Amino acid sequence: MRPHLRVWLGTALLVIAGTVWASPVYQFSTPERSQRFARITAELRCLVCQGESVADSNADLARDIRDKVAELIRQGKSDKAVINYMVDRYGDFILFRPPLNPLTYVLWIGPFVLLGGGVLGVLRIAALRRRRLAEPAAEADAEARARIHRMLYEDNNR
Amino acid sequence: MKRYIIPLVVFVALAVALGVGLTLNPSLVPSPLIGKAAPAFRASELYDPGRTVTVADLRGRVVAVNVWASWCTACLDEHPIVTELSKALPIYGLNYRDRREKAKQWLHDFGNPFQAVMFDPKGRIGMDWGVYGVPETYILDASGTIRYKHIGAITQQVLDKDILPRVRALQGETRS
Repeated sequence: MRPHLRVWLGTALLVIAGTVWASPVYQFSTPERSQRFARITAELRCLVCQGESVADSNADLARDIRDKVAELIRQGKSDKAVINYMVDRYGDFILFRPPLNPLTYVLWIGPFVLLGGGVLGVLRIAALRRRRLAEPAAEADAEARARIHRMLYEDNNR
Repeated sequence: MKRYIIPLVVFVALAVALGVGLTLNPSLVPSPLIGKAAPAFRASELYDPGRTVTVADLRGRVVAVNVWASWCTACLDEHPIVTELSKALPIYGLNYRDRREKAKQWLHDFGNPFQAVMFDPKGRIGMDWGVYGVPETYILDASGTIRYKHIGAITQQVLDKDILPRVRALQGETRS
């Protein structure tokens, strides 16, 4: 094998091995529980590396939360109970999808309201333009025609 | 002129809302425990492993709980301020995800302002209290209810403006 190819292959293998090392596998008694674990940890935000989910993050806190979620699932707790456990301690912010309650109405509905307002604004402007273009500009017409006539036929004869 | 009013108003409203948003810090997660009883725990005391510290020990007067670790540099930064705070009220330390010997060494090197230190090597107590970074400081009233949480190192300004006034107000509550 060419030396360069060997280096690339070795690097690729190391990277793949590294990703496996970084994520310890959580064992569950049923595949359904594994799926629930994957789904719940993907919905919880890592508070240390914000933007990452607890499933993806390498932070210690994320690992602690994953361990706890696994422990609760193995105890037979429902999805809702697991989520509530975390929200009780860390607040709504730990959820990627904030719950729909009076406090978060602005967050959820706001963008649609703004979008609706923008669309209405555009329609109004378009309608106004259409109306203005359709108006016969009678006076301007006659004046313009007279000036054009003068420019074409009279100025040239000077 | 009139047709410029609406877009202008909308723009100003948006600019104000978004401008305020820019000044907020998204890494400060508000605690859902404010106003609730401090979560129960049973912890081994750092210096006296056989002694158990529980949440009942925190009741009866206004106290602070300071979450710290020997590996946390910001905890070292705030240490003089925490020491100053310990003159105003008793502070209990929650030693988070640390090693007993390292924690004791840290207190030996820099001073121990704590009434007692709860040893939480796995962070289990921390998780019940919603700790997500160190340092964090909780203020509890005499009934053991969490009344305030500060996330991050306490600066002189935070101490003077946010923490000491609250502590004094709570201590006034206790007396009345």
